[in-house]
Amino acid sequence: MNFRFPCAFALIASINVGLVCGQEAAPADADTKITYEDHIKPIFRQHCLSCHHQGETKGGLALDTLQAVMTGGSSGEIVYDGDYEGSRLWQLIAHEDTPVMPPGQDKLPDDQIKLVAAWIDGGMLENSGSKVRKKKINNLAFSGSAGGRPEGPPPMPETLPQAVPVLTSRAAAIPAVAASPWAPLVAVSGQRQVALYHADTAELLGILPFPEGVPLSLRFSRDGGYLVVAGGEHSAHGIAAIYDIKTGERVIEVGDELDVAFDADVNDDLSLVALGGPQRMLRIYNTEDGERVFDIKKHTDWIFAVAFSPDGVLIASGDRSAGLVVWEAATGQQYLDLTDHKGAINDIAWRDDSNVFASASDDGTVKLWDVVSGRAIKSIAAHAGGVTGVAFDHEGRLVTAGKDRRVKLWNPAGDLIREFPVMEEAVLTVAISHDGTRVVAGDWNGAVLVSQSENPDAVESLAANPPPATDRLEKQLEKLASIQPEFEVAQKQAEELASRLTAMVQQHTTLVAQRDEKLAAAKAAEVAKAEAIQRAEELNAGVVEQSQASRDLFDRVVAARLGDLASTDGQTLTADREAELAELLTRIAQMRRERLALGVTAEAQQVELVRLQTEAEALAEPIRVAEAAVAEAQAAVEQFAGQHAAVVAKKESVERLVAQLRQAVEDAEGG
Amino acid sequence: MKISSQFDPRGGVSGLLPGVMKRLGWMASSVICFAGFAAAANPEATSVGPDSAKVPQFVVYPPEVSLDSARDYQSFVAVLTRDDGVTLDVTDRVEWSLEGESVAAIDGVLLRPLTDGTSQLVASYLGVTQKVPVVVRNSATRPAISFTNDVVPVLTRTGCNTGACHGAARGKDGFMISLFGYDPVGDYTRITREIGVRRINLAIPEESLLLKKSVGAVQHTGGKRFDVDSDYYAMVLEWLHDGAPNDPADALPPIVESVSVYPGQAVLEGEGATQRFVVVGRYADGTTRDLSRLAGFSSNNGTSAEIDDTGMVTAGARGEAYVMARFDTHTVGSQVLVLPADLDYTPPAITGNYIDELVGKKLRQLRITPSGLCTDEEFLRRATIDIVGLLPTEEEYQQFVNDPAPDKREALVNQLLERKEFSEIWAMKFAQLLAIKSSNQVSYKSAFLYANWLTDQFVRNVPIDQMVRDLLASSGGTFTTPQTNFYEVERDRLKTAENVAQVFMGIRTQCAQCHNHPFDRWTMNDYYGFAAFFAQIGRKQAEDYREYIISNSGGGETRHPVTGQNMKPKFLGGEEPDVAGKDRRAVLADWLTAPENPYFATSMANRVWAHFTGVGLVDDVDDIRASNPASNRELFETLGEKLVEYNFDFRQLVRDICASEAYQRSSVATSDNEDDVRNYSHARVRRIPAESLLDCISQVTDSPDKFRGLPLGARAVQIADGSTSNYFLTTFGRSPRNTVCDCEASTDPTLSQALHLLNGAGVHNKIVQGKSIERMLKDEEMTAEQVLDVLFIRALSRKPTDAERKELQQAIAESANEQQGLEDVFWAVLNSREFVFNH
Repeated sequence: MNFRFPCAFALIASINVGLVCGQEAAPADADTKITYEDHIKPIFRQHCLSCHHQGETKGGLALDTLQAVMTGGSSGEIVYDGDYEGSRLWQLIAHEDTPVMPPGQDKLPDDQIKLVAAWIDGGMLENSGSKVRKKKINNLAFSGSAGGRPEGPPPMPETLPQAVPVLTSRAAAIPAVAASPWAPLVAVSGQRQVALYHADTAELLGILPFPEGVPLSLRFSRDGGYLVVAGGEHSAHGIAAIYDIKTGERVIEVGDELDVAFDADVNDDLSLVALGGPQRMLRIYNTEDGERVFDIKKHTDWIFAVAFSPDGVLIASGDRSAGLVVWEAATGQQYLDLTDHKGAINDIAWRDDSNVFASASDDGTVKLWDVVSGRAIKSIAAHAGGVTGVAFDHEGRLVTAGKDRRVKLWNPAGDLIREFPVMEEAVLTVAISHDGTRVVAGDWNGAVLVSQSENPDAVESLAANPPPATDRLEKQLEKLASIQPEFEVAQKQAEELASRLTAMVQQHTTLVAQRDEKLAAAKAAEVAKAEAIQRAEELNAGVVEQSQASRDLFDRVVAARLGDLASTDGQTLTADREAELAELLTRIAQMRRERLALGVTAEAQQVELVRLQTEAEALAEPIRVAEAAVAEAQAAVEQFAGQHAAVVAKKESVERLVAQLRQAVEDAEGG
Repeated sequence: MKISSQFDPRGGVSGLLPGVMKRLGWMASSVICFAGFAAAANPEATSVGPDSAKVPQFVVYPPEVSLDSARDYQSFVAVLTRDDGVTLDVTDRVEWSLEGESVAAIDGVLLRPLTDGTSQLVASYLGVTQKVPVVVRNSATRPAISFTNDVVPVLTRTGCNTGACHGAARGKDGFMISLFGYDPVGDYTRITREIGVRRINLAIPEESLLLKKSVGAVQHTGGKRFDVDSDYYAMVLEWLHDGAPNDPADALPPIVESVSVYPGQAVLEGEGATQRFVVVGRYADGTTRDLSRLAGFSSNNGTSAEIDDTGMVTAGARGEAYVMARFDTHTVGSQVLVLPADLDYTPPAITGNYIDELVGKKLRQLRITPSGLCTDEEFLRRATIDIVGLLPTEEEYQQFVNDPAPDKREALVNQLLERKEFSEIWAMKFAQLLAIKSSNQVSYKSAFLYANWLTDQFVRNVPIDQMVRDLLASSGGTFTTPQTNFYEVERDRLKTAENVAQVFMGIRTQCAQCHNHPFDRWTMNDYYGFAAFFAQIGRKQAEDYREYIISNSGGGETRHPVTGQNMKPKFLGGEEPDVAGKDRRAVLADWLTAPENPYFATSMANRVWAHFTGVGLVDDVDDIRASNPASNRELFETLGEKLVEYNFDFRQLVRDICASEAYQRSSVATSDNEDDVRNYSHARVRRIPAESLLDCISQVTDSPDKFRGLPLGARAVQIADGSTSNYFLTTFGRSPRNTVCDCEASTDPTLSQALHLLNGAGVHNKIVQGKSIERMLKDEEMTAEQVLDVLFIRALSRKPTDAERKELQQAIAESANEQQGLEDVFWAVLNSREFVFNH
């Protein structure tokens, strides 16, 4: 699907309707082919052929055969298959470009212009027997790439300077805004300073001093870690400087122009800086030592725009007299000389894949250039009166700004997605945030607005002239004071939650200990019971044995008694044997008693065991409740931790800012 | 080829003309032109003497003071006029005060407002008091700086938008603003928005490049234009502090209605004498403004009077200068006469007609004594060449010289005016101005018919206004109504309008096509409003492919290139007439030729005057503008009035001119008037125009010429088609008729002219072919001496002097035969400067 021209089908459909009205013959089905012979040549015959036929060929162009149309005129091809907006034929008859055709006459009727557009889109068929050729791969079919994204979290400012070098009651015209390609960070050019803002919160993060003058151009490095600032004092001095955006430190500065530098850019590996200005010389510097590598002399007017391709291979530069040239970055050799623009080139932006770049011009168009084929693949009539700024996001969408006071967002095919609210004055510069959600634009009045891409009416304003550190310190102190109660409440709540958790845990622990104790006791009872049973059984065995012995003994007693009569000795023996039996019987009786007692004990132990087990089981519920309470308290603590941490972080960040501001104020006072 | 070894023309005939040689060099160097404007306050120079005023006659300028805001101020000056007409700047000597409660304060030579009210500025000097009313209004309000009325004038005054700097069509160093601020709307955009971040800085106005360049704080090709502590800097800075606002489209600041420069005239005595001038502008809202700090000052003769930025004029060498102040679209000037400190001058009596009165008045002002009158012989030759473009014949010479009548000069003029050659000369002059020539778009037939129509107009003595009306409003075929060729010769409608202004009004509007005229009042609005009269000319081909039919198409408009709006037809310096349903050209023709039209009659009369005196009162005759004033304004106006009075019959005007002593003066200058070139104190020696010169040579040699389309014997003056020429005519500066400029016909001397007369075939062949000497000697049996006389009379309208006669007779005697000797003499005479010049 050729998504560059989503309207083509609708167009054809509408044309068919038109044809139905105009010519009875044409059927209104979507298969109708727009062909040269049937539809286009009659239009040409009516309006064009008197000058552009093979006998006359004004401007080297004949339109009376398809072959001739495809060949084009002395200024080149006039139709590009499937790209009616890029086709000069359409541009001229639709009065999108000059010289308008036909000259000195009324514009062609709209339906005829649409028909020509549809014909080009439909593959420029010759007649009804022609087949649509397979379209070549669209240069505008762009799939995003994450090339250049740094490892780890994208760089954001950490310890930026906070002092305001120059205080002004109002801002001047905004020469430049820029957005970090990977972080919610926006840079705004002011007087002798660059203000860095958080893209999402619009919070001022810090100020990069630029004592050389007005920063006229801001470009983030490919990895978002550095900011290239070009500018200076008009008609006096121009430089480019690179800042580390974490610390605000100036890493390097290059250039010593006799006028300002209008634009500068750094390549992908931060090894080269290209710089241009009113001196018409494109200068390339080495970042290692700041030495000039070479100058490129070709531009005939002030260089307004300079940009490295994201892969660092090419440099595109544009000047005030519509000169637009692409160079090989390594050698400085000219790669392309692009002459389609008719007005000053105000800005250049590259798409992530380095295959396409956009140029914004005073002629009112943004042109997209395919650097492989070296031709304009799209010319967007973006802003009447001149386009001042252009930027790509990672999805290949474009934002443009113009002297018509508008900012517009375009899809990668160059179709308008939406317009942002009209600003008060000519918009001079535009940027789109790393995630494409926010569009930043600065105008002639000095207003800098951040709009949400999806919700253009949600607008925040950034000051290019930040308030002084003292004011901001005061504000931050107020803020600190204002968040103190919140902080305290949070702190208290956190403590409460913690103590509750502790209590809950305590309770739970106690219950568990009780249960464990009971279970241990039950266990002991069981053991005791088992021991008693065991002993009883042993006693039982003893009783049986002893009873056997007693019977034997009785027998002998009987025997003795019987013998006794016969002898004294027998008497004694009988007595002994009787005593012995008595003793045995006593012992047996004792054993029986003992055995009985053991049975009681075992029973008692059994009762105890049951009791303890029941008790332990009864504790399980409270323990579960306690457990839940602990979990709940735990969750509460955890839940609050984020909130708490946020409050703490907020406080800490404010405190840090306060410290930085204090430092800035002290420095200012000291200085 | 006949180069006579025993006859040196330089030692011979040309040596007979002591004055002429000198004049020649003098003419070539007459670049310095004096211009003057006899202002209303004209000091009548009645007696010459030292500062002898008993009662000081002094005037305070401006005549009234109006202070209209807290910002306003007004400078003043007091000028004392001595009995002898010399003026003195006595501002410093006068005691200044304000009457009653002071509504204003005197600050040096400035008045500044204090409170609203009225008062009088009182000047006392030697017991005499002069009062000037002072009105103070809105003294509490301090209006915001206006871009159009404040900033642009600063840029203009300080030279930012001159043609050599940013006012050039392509600007300078990448920055273009309109020439002398003709397009403030565009200038506003260019300064503030063109490169929005460069030229101004609203956050730190002092850092604006506009200011830094102006004060030279950064590199600037134009250098420093003003100081940081100047009022210019303050004005621009305040405007920037206010946010560089534009003048609201619905409340545009008032336009400047007029500009006055005071005093209107100064007569300075002695080198180094000074006079300060005050410039006051009047705006449409009734306010006035002291423009002495904003107007651009210039002098057309810096040698005599230099003017500085403050309006201070310092006298230099004796002479006359015109100091000008330019502001907005207005250029106004004052005449400054510089007289030597101790000049012994007795004013001569003024005699003659009204012309002489005015010329004499001016000469008295300048303390110049004119030369005496020329001889009858000189007058005869001068008038004949001027009026009919031929030389007097021998009979005419004899008749005139021997005529004892006291009014014979007048009679001669009348007689000459009746001749058809007079009409032919003027037809030719107009054919030049109308650029009648055949070309790709004008067929020979058309050109021929067109020229014939013109000649016919003059022959029938059609009043010039009627002729011009007929010409401009013409419709019809270019054959049947030949005057319609006016619209065929130049088909570009803008150029047609320019041509009408230049030919019939003497005004060059060309500048105003692209920007307001830098040295005149004409704006682009004027230009396109005037061009709109020619927007509805229809033309189509007639049956004959060479003929076109010109008509009033009734449709078509002229668009203003800056505003893009269609312009309503508007008379130059006049109103917007109702043209609905009318032929716009007819409306214009009626206005142009109306007696009250301020340009037509005067410019026509000036052309006639220039023809007879060699230099127009306004010179060039077709460059009448505020900054190129007439050398004698009163005469300029009077001649125009007279032309109207005579119902545009300019034969009548010629009579007046030829009757004047100014015309009849000797060409020999006195030591007193030799430096004068513009005030007619002596006759100007002029080379005879190309056509007439050829006619004169043909006439004296009796050898007719043949021109394309004309019979043998026709005169060069009669050539209808401008593209018909020959080597002689081209060499002697015949008008190529490419444009309507009067300068196309040239009488400047060149080497090739001299060589052509000396060595070229023309003169020699004509002498031989004409056989007049042979005829005289053989047929009429005249003696060599008689022939010599005839040759001198024919060519120079005089007899040879005794010395000449003696020398020439000897030369004839030494030649091979008498005829050859006389032919040599004839050749020498025709090569003499006396012959080639009208003196």
